[in-house]
Amino acid sequence: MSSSSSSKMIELRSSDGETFHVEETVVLQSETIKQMIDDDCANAAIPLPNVTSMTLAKVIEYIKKHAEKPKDDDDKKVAEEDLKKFDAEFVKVDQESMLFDLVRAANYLNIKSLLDLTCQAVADSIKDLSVEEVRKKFNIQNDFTPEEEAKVRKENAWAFD
Amino acid sequence: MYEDDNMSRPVSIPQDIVSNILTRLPVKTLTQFRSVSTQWNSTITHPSFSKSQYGAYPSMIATEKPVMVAFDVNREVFNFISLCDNDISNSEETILMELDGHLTIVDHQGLTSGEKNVIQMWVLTDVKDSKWVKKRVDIPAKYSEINDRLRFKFAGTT
Repeated sequence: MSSSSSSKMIELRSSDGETFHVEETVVLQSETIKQMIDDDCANAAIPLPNVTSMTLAKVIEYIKKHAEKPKDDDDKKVAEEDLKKFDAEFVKVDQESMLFDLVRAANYLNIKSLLDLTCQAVADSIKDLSVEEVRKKFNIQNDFTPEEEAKVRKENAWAFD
Repeated sequence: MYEDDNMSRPVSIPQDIVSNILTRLPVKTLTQFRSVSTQWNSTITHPSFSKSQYGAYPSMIATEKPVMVAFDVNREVFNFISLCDNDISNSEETILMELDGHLTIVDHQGLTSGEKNVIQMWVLTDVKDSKWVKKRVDIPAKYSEINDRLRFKFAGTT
């Protein structure tokens, strides 16, 4: 399946014990894993106790796609368009919790482009929500006292038209 | 160290990620979202947050050079215009006016001190590069007798 036979394979283990084999060149997009490899901590499977197999599979799908190198300049343009489409589809996840899982995984694995992509997707999904809906989505308790909340709302009343 | 929450809703999102998400929202939405919780309120109102949101202008904010802050209502972004390098920026009282479609600063000092029949002004000829051009305007001689304490009034200013 892989076109390159020379690339070293890295083994990753998800929080629920599943192992994934990914080419080193692909996995280097994660600053966290790159650091582990640089520190020579990647001889055995790398444990990722913060990432479930479901999320890790998605992350690997993303970094594999983003590791593809276009052959020439013509191909580069096509590839860029293709990548944009891929990114747009990638964040259209069925379960909302998956998007949050991806944000956390991108943060933990330190993959900047994926963190940007997923944070932007979350921002897009909340920008038209009410305060109440945002609390529900982020599972946040309203910890204002009624007086404090009334005060903040009053100060910012212009934004609530 | 971490419990498997494969099936459950996200329990909590670290605040630095929340902050990252919030920097992508327009000001009006952010203002509403101050009411979400005390933590969101303090994140949004923290000075470092607005710096990261308007991160395109870090060098300007970092310098001591005085700037004029303009808010673009249509695009909901702040623009920063560096003030000209002269004592006008230190002056307590300046007049802003429009001259041939350019923003212009007239110093109170420019009106009353020095040569009595000359007004000094600085014209913002290039907004993007904050380029100010100094301009002198001679006042007709009959007005040059104006007492130091009197000031000109410009149309459109108070």
